[in-house]
This record gives sequence, C-alpha cells and structure tokens, in this order.
Amino acid sequence: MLFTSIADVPDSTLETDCCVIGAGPAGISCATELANRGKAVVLLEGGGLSAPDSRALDLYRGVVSGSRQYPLGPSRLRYFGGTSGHWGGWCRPLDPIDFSPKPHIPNSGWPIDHSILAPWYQDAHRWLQIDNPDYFDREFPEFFDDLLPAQHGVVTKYFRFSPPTRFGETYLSTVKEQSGLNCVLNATAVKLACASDGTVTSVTSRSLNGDELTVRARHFVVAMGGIENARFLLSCADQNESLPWRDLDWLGRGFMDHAGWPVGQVLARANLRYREFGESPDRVMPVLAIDEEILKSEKIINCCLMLRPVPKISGIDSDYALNPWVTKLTDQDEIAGYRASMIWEPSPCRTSRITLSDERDELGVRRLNLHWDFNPSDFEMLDAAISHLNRYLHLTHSGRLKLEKPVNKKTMAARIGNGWHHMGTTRMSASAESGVVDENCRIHRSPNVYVAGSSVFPSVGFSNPTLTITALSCRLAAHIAGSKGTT
Amino acid sequence: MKLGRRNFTSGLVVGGATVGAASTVYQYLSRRPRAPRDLLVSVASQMQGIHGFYKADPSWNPASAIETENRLLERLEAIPGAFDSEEMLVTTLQAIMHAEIKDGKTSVLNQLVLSQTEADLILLAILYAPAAKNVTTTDNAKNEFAVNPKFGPRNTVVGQVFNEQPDGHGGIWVVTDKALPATTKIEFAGQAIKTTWRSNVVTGAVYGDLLNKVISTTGEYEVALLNTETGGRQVIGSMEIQKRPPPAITEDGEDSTVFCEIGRVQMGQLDDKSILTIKTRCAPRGARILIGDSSIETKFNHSAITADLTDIVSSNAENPWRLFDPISGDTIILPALN
Repeated sequence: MLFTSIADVPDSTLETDCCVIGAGPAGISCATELANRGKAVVLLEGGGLSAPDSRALDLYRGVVSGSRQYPLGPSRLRYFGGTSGHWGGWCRPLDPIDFSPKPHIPNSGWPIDHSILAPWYQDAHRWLQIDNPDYFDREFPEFFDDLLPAQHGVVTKYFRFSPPTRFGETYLSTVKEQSGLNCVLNATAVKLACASDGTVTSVTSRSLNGDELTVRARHFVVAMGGIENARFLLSCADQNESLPWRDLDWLGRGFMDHAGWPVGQVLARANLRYREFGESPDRVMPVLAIDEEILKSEKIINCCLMLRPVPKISGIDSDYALNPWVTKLTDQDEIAGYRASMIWEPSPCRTSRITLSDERDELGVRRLNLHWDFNPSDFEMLDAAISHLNRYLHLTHSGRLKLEKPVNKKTMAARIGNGWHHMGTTRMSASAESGVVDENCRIHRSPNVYVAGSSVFPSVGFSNPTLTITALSCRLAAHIAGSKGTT
Repeated sequence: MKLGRRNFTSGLVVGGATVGAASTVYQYLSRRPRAPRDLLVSVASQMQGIHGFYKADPSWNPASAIETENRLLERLEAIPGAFDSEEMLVTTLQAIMHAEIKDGKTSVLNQLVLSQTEADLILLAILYAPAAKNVTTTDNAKNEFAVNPKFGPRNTVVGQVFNEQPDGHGGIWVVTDKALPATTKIEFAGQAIKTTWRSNVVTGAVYGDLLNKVISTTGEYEVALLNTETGGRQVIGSMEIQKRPPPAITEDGEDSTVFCEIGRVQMGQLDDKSILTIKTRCAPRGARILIGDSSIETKFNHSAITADLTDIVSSNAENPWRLFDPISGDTIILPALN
C-alpha cells in the first residue's frame, strides 16, 4: 500500500517487523524482498513521487569544503526511486580484487569475499532488468577481433547496461501491490529511539507540513543514500547518547566517489570497439583494465580506460602512428584517435568525510559538511596505472598514448571528475575499530539497525555501484528475514 | 621487414635536399660503406609524421641532435649485430624501446609518452627527415610566404666554414621585404636548422657533423624557408661549395693546411682607419697579422682577410709582414702591398 503523505496514514504510530528508511534502489529492493519473504515492512521516503520543490530540496543543502567542489544537490534525487531517476544504467559486479585487502592501499578490502556476494548479483540483475548478465569472464566474445590483445597485464573487461531501470516508475506498482509492504511518502526520518541496551525501538519521521509518524519495528534498515545515511546516523547519535554507534570513529569518514581522469588520446588502429554497442539485452561496453596480479605487484589502484573515437585526428599524429614500431598495421589499416578517459577507485581516505554543521534544516536535522579529499598516494597510483597502460600500448604495438595533462596533485585538483557515486561513509568492516557495519550490513554494536546502499562499500573498484547496491540489499533482506536475533 | 611506406635514399640526400642527381654529396656518401651512422640515419630518415615534432622540444638544435646521434651510435655499437643490416638495426631499436618501456624509461615529446630511444630517434629524424617530406605542397600560394627573399652566403670553398661565427658554426641569413611568420625555419641541405627569427630577418646555424659533411666536398645545397605552422615551404636558392683553391706556401716552403693561395694585398682607408685587405678564399678563425713585434687580429669575410692597422703601419713599414695561424702554426709571408 502507498501513502503519499503522513496525513494519509490512519495512525500516528505503525508497528511492523522491518522499517526501511529511504526508497531508492537499495530501499525499494530491500523492502520488497523482505515483504516477499513474509515480513511486514514499512518503507519511509522523504520525498514524493516527483522532483521536490525548492523547500524540500533545501533539506539537502550542505557545505562542501576541501580543494574540490562537489555537486551535493544535483547528484542526489529526493523522491521515490532515488538516484535511479538519473543514472545511466552502467552495470558490472565488483572485481574479486576489490574485496581483497591490498597492502599498498590502507583500509582497503571487504570483510567478505567476492563469492559471498556472487549469488546475489543474479537477483540484482533481475531488479535492474539485465537479461544477459554475461561479462565474458571465461570466453572471448565474437567481437574479440575488434579489441586489443590481452597481454602484458592488460585485459578487456565489460560493462552491461540496465535500460536503465527507473525504480520509481518501474516498481511503483510493485510497491503498491506488494502484500505486507506499506510505503509512506513525504516522511523524512529525523530521529531514532532506543532501549537502554541500544536496541532501536522506533523511528520518527516528519513532513514539511508538520505531520509526524512513528514507526516501531524489530529491524531498521537505513537506505537514504551514500551521503544521507551518514548524516542521519550522525544526527541520531548526536540527539541520543544511547545509540551504540555514537563512538564509531569511521562513521562519516571514507567518503569516496569514482574519480574520472581525462588521460588524453590513444592513437591506434581504426574501428576498435571500446564503446557501448549492441541492442538490449545484449548491450555491452568493453573497457581496458589492468590484470589483478599487476594491480598487486605494481601497486596500482583498480581502474579502467574507456576509448571513444574522436571524429578526426591530425595527419601528423596519424602519420607518426604509422611508424612500424608504433602500430602493427597492414596497408589496409587506418589510424584513429580515441579519447581516453579513466575511471579509477579512490583509496579510503579518513579525512574525506561527512560531518554535521551547527545549522539545522527545516525539519530540525543538522545540516552536513562534506570534505571531499584524496590520499596523496592515489595520484602516484593513478600515474602508475597510466604508465602501465602506456607500456601495454607500446609492447603490443597497439599504439601510442598522448597525454592531455601530467598527473600531479595540482592538475588532479583542477581536472578530476566525479561519478555522483556516494560511497564509503558507513564502511563495512570486520571490527568496530575499522568501520561502521559488519559483514551483514548491521551497524557494529547495534542489535537491529542495518545500512543499505553504497555507503557500506569499504573499497569501490571501478564498477558503477548500483548493481552491487542492489545485490547487497537482496542479501540483507534475506539475512534479516532469516535472522533469529531479536526477532 | 617493412620499414615504412616511403622509399628512402641514403643519408643527407633524403628528401631531394640536394640539387641534382649528380650531387657530389650524394657521390661522397654513396661511395662510403654502409657504416653504422649511415644505417642509423637511413632508419631515422624513414620515420613518418616527424614534422609534428618540430616544436616539441624547445631545446632542440642541430648540435643537440648530433649529440643524440652520437649517444645512440655509441649505445648501438655495443650491441653485436645491430648494424649488420637495416632490418637488424630496426629490430635492435625495437628491443631497446621495449626494454626502456618495461623499465619506465620514458620521455614525453609532443605529449606522446615514448621510450627515451624513440624520443631520441625522433629528434634525430628531425635532422634528417625534412619537414617538406611530409608537407602537402599543393597550395602554392600558401607556400610563397616570403616576399622577395635574399640570403647569404651563397658560396664557400671546401673546408672553409661559411660565415663562421664565434663558436665555429656556419651562419645563414635570409632577409625579406615583409615580416616572416614567427614559425619560420631555415632548411638547409634538406634539414631544418636552428633558426633565430627577427621579423623580416631569420638566421640559421649549421653545426657539427652537418657542417663538416657539407663543406667536406664540392656541392650545391638548397636553401629554403619552412613555415612549421602551416607546412609551407619556399625554396629561395642554393649555396655552392666550390673547389678549394691551391694552398698558400708557408715560410718553410710547405703547403699550408689552413690558408689558400693569397691574392692581392692592399691598404685602404675606411672611416679614418687603415684597413689591410688580403684577398683569399680561406682562412682559419683566429689568424693574426704579425708585423715586427705586433700581433694584430683579423677577420675573414668570405673572400678576404682584413685587419685594422691604424696604429701599426707607420712604425713598422720596413719589417716583413706575416699571416699566422696560432693553432696550426702555419706562417705565410705576405706579398708586398699593391
């Protein structure tokens, strides 16, 4: 059942098994899966069914500090369906190495390995309407001849594409009709109440009209987005000293976004297919990536290189690339230029964090400060990655790399891009000292509060997060449904 | 192994830089065995797309390119078999490039990340593969960018550095009626040379091995202007290296190794100065006139040695005058004043 406002809810207090806070991809998939497994669920969403007005949008206002600006407003969507309303549909699972701790990247790795999450990726593909989840891990695809060789520690990896699934449109009827699931819109969670042992007993939500709804539940799932998750948990702990995560050092820390870097141009043979092509459900996009063994041995961050053909390259570049030690070509081949862009994973950075400001929004919640930062070693690792890809182009006679800018802290600060992927602020860890949630996404020291979404990613690889977010949500739903704990 | 898509010839004649198929330079080079340097030059000459690199290295000049050449040669000569053939040389260069890339020994040239040897080869190729090779010349109007160009020197003799500058390099100048593009370079003997631009005047410097090659035998070398921005190229004439006159005879009765036969010797007045002029086609830098105990410095300007004797002549008129080269020790007794 769907309530478009708190005023429509018959009672001021709801009792349920699980309360899921936030109706983006994580919240909708988790709530629906929980209801599918027989749980009574209340799904709270701060926004409505469409884009918010300026008054509601102001609830997201915050302050960004650090050397780079971050689009706090545009990168988030405050309505039913969340940021799936503007995502591009890029999907691929995280790589196995993304789950492994890497000695050259402090605080890297997950407390679970890839195999734990692998089965849940199947469910995630279903949620994201991807009918062909083949990432060619074992067999070369038919178009292999149009790709560069897998040699010298460089391989081709693949993205698949969701239509993209707009959760708000696609799953509205599902949420409405799902037995055991009640969704309340325009109900922003503002505080949590807990028992003396730290067990959270209820969440209070408010509307801008002044209405208030309390939901009492056995389990709570915070799924408000990678930024808002941390803000909400920090804010609740600020109001309630009994909440057990109050002293978790990593809460709010480790904010990451997939960083984009305009490497420059690759001169190589024409007609390479490092671009999105094919029709749904077979749409695919190959990218160049660095082999996992090389990532470890050369101490490189995980990254991929996308090559987009440029309309025209200079005759000079074309002529030079025809030299026999540059490219192995026959007389029939042509040289083309490809715009080379890199997506790379930032390393977890303690100083990149969300904190609360003294100013409060209209609902009384303290606003956020975002300090977006990078570990200096990231730039060295990025440089190493570019060097390795350049080495590969040379050694395979595939072409030459033409740098747009040197990689250093100054150029990075000026030109680094972002993917609007908010990750890491409630990171998963084996212990309360090194993160915020445990391997089941339950907040350390809390008996019954879980976090869903990319804020739990302790390491982020280069894959877009939505597929992994959804896989984790499906897994979390199954865990809660099967959990004996406090149920 | 296929080396490229353009046939090539050997050494300095690549790109039709010399005038006429019977160029003495070509003969000079072609009768030499395929020495390591020739092979390296040949390989460098075949590189394509080189003109894009003219502005890539601000420190590039012919002298530095020759240093690069020597460094490459030294390195390659240490590798057995590298110079057995052109194919072997290419294979060896590729192996070196691979090794350097693996070791991270790279240079950035024109924004391209290259192995150091590849970058060296490009700098060398600039010397031996003139821009004109890769420039489309269909747009004649565009190529005629210099208005009424005049240039010099137009000749010298074998062994004599033309328009010799204080550091020993040969200078070429070009003057036009209207300002030239700041991207103008002088091309000489088929190679773009280090060029200094001053509006309607450009001067070029010819150094080291290139200079030595050019003046080592008679020949005629094209002088052209290149607009490295547009690829325009305008031939403005040629410089002739003429047969060297017979040597002068030293006071010991031997052939001089540095002075050619001496023609007329005369005194003249110029701006209240007494100038001695000795007609000759060759003279070493630093030659001096010895009059009694006085040693007077000289200048050589293409066809004559000159010296300012304003304060000397009157007190030493009775003593024999000599022309002396401090380096070789050659001393020539000058004939009587005409």
